[in-house]
Amino acid sequence: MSLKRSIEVKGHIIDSLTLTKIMDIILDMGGECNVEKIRIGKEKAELSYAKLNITTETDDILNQILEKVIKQGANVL
Amino acid sequence: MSNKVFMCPPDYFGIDYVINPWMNLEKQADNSLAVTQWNNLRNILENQVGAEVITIKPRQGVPDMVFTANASLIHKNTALISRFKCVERQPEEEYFAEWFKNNGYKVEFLPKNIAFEGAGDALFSGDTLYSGYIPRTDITSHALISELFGIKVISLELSDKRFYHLDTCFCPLEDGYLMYFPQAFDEYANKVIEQNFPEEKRITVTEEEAFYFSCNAVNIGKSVVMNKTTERLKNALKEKGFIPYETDLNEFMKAGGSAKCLTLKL
Repeated sequence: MSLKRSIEVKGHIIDSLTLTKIMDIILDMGGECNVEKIRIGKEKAELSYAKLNITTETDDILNQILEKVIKQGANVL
Repeated sequence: MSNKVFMCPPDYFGIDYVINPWMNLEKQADNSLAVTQWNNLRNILENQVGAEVITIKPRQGVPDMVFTANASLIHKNTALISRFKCVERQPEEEYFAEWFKNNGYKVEFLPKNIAFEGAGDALFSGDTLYSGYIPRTDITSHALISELFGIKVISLELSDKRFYHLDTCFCPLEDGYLMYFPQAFDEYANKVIEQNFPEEKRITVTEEEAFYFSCNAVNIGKSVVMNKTTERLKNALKEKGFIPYETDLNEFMKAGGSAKCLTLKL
């Protein structure tokens, strides 16, 4: 059985390596992720945005992943 | 660049609760000694560094009001008032908001459910703001601050609970220099720091110097005012053209704060 959930994250997520960290968290904890949407800010102060789809085998893993990525600024959709 | 520094006299300073790893109710601060140490810091800022110190009236029941770095984040003429994570410090918010409003600042707030602890967790280097998160500030504040002020905000995760505000382990200095304690950050934050500050501009502190809160320093021009520290670090600063000033702030270290925490540059 695979479980899916989407998250979005907004900010200077490229320059801060936040997007990389979130993807690493998902993968390190046994999930899979794909980037459904990404928008990179062109101006220096412009925010970037990404929407990620997370897939896991169990509810437990999904909840553990979500708990961690929320602390990194992810909004669960 | 303004040389005005906002401070709060320590009339009511003491260890009344425990909200960080440095506090211990059995190791009380000596208020009389704290007053002397605070006045020494003020004296250095005014008479040696050339700053103008502006004060707010201290209030009973909020002993940590002395740490004005957490009052707000100042950008041009706007003061973004802190949203304290710990309930013990939340009463300070209205006092600080009132002061900034009465002194000509536009006052802004983040939503109540988003923690943000002001210039203790957010420091400019040039026009980029570096902001800590996890112990006291939520990363969700960073995008809001970026949109509010139209600035770039770089997020740095604080991974050592002893260095619970960014200003305890990260000190941007004039001319793009940085004094910091790498072990207080996670690997991503260290990569980001190295990408943004070239090696010749980075002054790393040792664990001993970090525990003196050497990074919790006030930089005005070439002057760097800090708690007592090592000869090594003072020489490292001098080599880069800075003038270090030491002053004993150990009574405030009992509450987890030092020179930078006691001040807010306006």
